[in-house]
Amino acid sequence: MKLPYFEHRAPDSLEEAIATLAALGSDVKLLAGGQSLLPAMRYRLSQPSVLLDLSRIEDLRLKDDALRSGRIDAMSTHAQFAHQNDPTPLGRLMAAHAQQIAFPAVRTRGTVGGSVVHADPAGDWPLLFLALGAQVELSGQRGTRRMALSSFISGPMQTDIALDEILTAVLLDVSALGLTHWGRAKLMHRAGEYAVSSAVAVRRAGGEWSCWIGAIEAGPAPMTQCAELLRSHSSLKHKDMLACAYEDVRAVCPESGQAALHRHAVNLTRAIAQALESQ
Amino acid sequence: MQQNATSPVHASTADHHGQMIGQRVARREDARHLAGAAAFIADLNAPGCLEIAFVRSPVAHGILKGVDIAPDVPIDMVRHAEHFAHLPPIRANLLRDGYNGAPYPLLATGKVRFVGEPIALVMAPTRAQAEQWAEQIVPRIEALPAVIDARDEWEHPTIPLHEDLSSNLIMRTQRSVGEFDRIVQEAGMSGLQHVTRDFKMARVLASPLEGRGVMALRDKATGAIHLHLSTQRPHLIRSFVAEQIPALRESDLRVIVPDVGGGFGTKSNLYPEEVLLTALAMELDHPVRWIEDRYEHFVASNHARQHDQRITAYFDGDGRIHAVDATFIVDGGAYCAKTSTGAIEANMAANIMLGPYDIQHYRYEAISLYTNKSPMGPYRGVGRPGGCFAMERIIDEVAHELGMDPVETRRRNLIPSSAMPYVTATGLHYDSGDYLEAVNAAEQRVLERWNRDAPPGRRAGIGYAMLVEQAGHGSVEWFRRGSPTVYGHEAARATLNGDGTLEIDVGTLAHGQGHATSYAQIASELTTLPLDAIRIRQGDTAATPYGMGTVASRSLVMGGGAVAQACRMIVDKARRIAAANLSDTADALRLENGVLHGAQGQLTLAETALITSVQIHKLPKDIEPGMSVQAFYRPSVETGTFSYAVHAARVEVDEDTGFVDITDYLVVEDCGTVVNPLIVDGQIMGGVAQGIGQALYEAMRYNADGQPETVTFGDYALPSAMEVPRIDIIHLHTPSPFSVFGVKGMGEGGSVPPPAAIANAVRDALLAEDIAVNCTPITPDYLLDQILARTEGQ
Repeated sequence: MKLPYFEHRAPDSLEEAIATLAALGSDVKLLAGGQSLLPAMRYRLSQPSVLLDLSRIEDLRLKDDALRSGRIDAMSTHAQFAHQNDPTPLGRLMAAHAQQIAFPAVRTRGTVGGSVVHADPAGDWPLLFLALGAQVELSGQRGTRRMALSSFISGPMQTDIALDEILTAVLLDVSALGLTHWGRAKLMHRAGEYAVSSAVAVRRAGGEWSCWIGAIEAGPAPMTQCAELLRSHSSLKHKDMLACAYEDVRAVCPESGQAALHRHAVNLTRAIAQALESQ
Repeated sequence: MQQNATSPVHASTADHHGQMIGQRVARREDARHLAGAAAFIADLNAPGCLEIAFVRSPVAHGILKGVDIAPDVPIDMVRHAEHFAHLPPIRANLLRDGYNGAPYPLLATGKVRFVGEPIALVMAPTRAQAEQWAEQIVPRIEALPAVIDARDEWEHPTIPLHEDLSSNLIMRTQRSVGEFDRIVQEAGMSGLQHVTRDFKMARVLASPLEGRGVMALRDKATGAIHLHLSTQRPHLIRSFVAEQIPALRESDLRVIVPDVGGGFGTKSNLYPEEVLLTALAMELDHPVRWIEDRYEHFVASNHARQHDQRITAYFDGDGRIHAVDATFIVDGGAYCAKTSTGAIEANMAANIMLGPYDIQHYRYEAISLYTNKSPMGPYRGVGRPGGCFAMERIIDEVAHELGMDPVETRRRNLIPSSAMPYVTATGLHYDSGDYLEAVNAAEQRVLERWNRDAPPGRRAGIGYAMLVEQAGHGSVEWFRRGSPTVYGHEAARATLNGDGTLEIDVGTLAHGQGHATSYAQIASELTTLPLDAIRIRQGDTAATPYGMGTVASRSLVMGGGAVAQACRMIVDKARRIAAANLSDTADALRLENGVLHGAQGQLTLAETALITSVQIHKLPKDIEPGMSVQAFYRPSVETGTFSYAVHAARVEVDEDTGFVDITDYLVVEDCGTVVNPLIVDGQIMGGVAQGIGQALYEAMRYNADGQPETVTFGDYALPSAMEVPRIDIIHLHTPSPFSVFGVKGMGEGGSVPPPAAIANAVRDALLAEDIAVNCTPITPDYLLDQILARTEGQ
């Protein structure tokens, strides 16, 4: 179907965008790449009367020092991370993660901020940034606030963003910037598809492990027993890791069938194994 | 080389040979496609054109009580069924006993029977506007229970969907051939074993890059209606549309087909939209256009396959199959589309099932039923993928029962080449072939290059499937099937111009098959003119002779035959003219590079054309002026050509996820004489890709209410280039004795065996645990659930 009629506004500055948003309220949808929004509009699942396009706002674009400063501006594209060759573990993790998002066309337009606010349970960036313990920065006429991403995402396709707010950046702390080990595993039935199962395991600068899985109904979930097992044991048998992964997975998706549970558990252990190998 | 009975050409030893047939000529039509410079229906420029959007049923089955139209929709831009009350519904016929056709309304009246059925249409200057108005037209429908499972409906019939029918049965045919009954009765005494399997193949659809499209307008200069259409059969559709509209005569309707972005059968049937837009163009002073969008393609274009089968093979300890019992139940959808229906899908599967095997005792039952889904139509293979899956899966099960190599089991059942020509149990006349040679070639390549080693956690398997592909069949076969449209010929008009260029107008319709190249190669072969002097034209009923279009893998056999015949007639005439002017005999002239050489002098083909037009004083009186001939090719043997193939797949199955990777794929095929190996290879690769889709990914799924759940490419998974491995192709060449140059049709074959070959490979990989692989698509959950159940049981 064709897109329904809408007005397209593309301000040059964040201030102007915030003012427009405040003036128009619920009539507006922010266009931050549009790789999910535009198809939804074609199917009439979303019918905003104004699309506020953030692509011309310089302040929201990726800066060169993002992986050192920990500030990832919202309109950074997947492709920018897929193509960067920062040699740090974080840089390599971000590149590997971005390279497996959909196809080049989607990576070129799709943005980090758009993905985080969309909060698709199978989305790639929410999973990774949750595992990294990221914060989000939200700006509006009432000011700027920061909150943990884990609080910001309140459910599948649901966030705490207010009608008059724009997500301006994802923020990583020093423990994430200095992460020492990482592993990730994404199962796709076909290349470029949304994940059937997705997992990230990282060891942060302070030595803490963080393991998360995505592509489950409720949205990304921490695998706390696995993280604890990794913290407390220096060498682990695959069998024990898998048993622990099963426990964790079963706790967050009790409704899933046996096949889905098994795939999530196995996929998680694959991410963990990769992280351990990177030691 | 077969000389045709109706062909006026005489054999000439002076014709050159071997110049163009068999050359890997790059397709001449690709350049404009690669440059994005092609012209599809949506690219046509028509000032004042009104774009159409359809209001389609959101309900699978229900009583249509009316529509509510919002006040801001201009009522004069809306048309519903009453407006077209003077037009009859589409009726697809099959001249066979027991066929229960049902009228297919152009716009729903009284009832709706599938989600996507058109109820009304809206016109607007832009499609976006038309869609916006269409959304504000809400049908009032009282929902009825939906029929969604064909086997359930067969076993426990419910209320008929169509008022004038007594059940939802479209057709049931059954036959017992040979001594089937005796063999089965005596099976115990004669020591025969049997194996039975239930197989299911999902409903799929063709998914061409370009959906359907229609633009209709009244040509002011002639008063005729011009119907621009993305179709595979321009002449037949013109006849059908004219039949549907009482006030329209065929001579007042011109069908013009621009570039077509793929069809695969889905653009061969007559659709309501085509009739409706023609009727609109007759009443309006504006052109009207409808471009099918992807959602519409998922619900409003014909679907295909959806088989539910029960297959039994009776076999001895040596692996020889003595008899086969097959039941095919096909989910035919809500209506019978014209001309290919659910009944044809079921009948064809039963008819071709035995494939390359020498099995003369056969019982089958082919059942097709109405359900509340989109109507079934043809898609690359029609019935063949179902029949092939049944036979090729069951022969592997025979092998597994005996602990025998499936390749050896095949060998023991093949029709020997010495038996050719061979008449099958169902009456197909196989023309030629050496099936054993193909099996041996495939096995040798597999043994040389593949193994069953796989990394830890993965299991490798190798599977085979064979196909015999009936193609290019003539009137005998079409009449036998009960088709009211009896195909049997193809036409070509060749015109040699005074500048030495050759124009050939054909009645077939390439929509990706590369006829502009392959036909030109045939013409070049016979006339010795260079390819760039030859133009192939198609797709305009005002400019090309009546033909049957491009379906059923027929074009190179039938259309190629007509091109060859027309070119021979041109050359023959040129020889007679040259002979008279050079004082030589026609047969003594040597044709080379477009020049006829005699003992005394020479004359170019171009010069002979000039003599027939503007140098008439040089033309003998017993030769008719003009250098344009029309050939109607009808093969002397009309039972068709039979290509054949062995496909082999190597897969790796991830034991922990149930994911299947196809690591290697081999096709050994014989389509007789190959005109252009590049095009043949392309056809095979494209077909295999579609077959891989059906094997592992594609399924048009419905919920219990008959709501389609897969109406985007996000939910309906097609294989991408990443899922299609490199395809290794080995060609064998057994020319057909019944066609020009010995060519055989091969367009559909590539897509037929992959589901069976891949299923057999997966079965092989997981044979130790006896994991069943009885359905397509073979989903990760289907495999992993079984694997986990086995592990738990241990």
